[in-house]
Amino acid sequence: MLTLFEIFLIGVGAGMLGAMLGIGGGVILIPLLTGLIGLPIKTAIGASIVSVIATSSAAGAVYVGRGLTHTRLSMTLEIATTLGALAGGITAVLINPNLLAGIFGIVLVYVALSLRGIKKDSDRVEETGFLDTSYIDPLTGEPVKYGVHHFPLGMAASFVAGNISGLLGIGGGVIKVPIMSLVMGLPMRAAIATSNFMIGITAATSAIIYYQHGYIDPSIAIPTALGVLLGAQIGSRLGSRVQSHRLKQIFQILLLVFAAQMLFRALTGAT
Amino acid sequence: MAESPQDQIHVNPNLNDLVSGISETTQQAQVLREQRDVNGVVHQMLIIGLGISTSLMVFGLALDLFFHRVPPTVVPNLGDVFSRMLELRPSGFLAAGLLVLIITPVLRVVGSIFAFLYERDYLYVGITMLVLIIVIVSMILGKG
Repeated sequence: MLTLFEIFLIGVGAGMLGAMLGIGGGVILIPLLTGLIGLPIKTAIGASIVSVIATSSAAGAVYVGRGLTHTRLSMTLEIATTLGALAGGITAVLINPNLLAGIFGIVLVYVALSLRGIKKDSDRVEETGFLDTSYIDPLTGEPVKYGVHHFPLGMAASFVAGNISGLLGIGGGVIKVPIMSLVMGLPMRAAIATSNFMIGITAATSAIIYYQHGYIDPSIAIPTALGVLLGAQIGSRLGSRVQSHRLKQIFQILLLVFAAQMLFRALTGAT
Repeated sequence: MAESPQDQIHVNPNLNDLVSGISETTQQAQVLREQRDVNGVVHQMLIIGLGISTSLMVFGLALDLFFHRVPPTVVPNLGDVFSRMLELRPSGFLAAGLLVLIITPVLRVVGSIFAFLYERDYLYVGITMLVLIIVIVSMILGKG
């Protein structure tokens, strides 16, 4: 039986790694909670969704304060993410846990592969006459003006991201950020800030469902959430210094190990 | 978009008016300022919600440790949370902390509806209300 403090430490670790790599803690947290503590996957998902809301609110406040979030675009895309989360949350409480583990394993492979990551702005950052906005680049002090490309595609991707979020208890930024940056033409900073902002309400939509079905275990979810909040604070301060390729490669291998573990669980039904 | 340097540097708008001696009169500047208002509302709501929920969680855990009890593994029914808090039971504070955390983004949406109403941006009042309706549907459909 792990103590509160040990669960808290798992949260700190997941929060730190997540912030340093620019992904939410959920993809790390759930494999750790199921693998290290042997929690049922649905309990791990319930704990993760709570942490996801906490980090989204904390980081969201910072980004909104800096004016990096495209508030109007996020409100519009939230229609799609919350609908997706509603469907995903209801599916999650109904389906077989082994199937959930299998889907999680596949998503982990996707995250590991997508992590080689394009961090540069796409060359499509321009005003389009649709939801044009601007922010002040924190590095150069220059205003960056941009509009939105391919809005319908963005809505579709947001629905998928919300659906995965509701189903697996992760934030879904791994799906939204690349689409917003590469397809919709948002500058990278704005894409990250806007995606993160949307995650809070999306995760709350499915968390309400998990709560009422008893999948949020306070003795797990609360130390985890407090740990992730602290870890994310530490990670975001370390982040810029440790942005090495080595860290990414190690993490990619770690994610693939997690994926193998999840797929094994799905096939054997080991709990 | 507004081109004057005063508009680009986002200082306190009132201070900005004092410095420049004129208020931002163009419609663009007006839009910029209103956007700052929505962001300000959202920013404060997120921080306050996070502060209250983490305080409740830490207090609940501290009560558990103080009484040498193991934290509960199930959340109480929504109706019982408040009465448990009045009885100073840790489970009440822990559940309240979780609920405040979950509700914070929802209140952020409600706050934005009012901010958009104040700006008379009725398209976004509608869009934001639609998001709120979806969340309420999930609350109803998600009953255990």
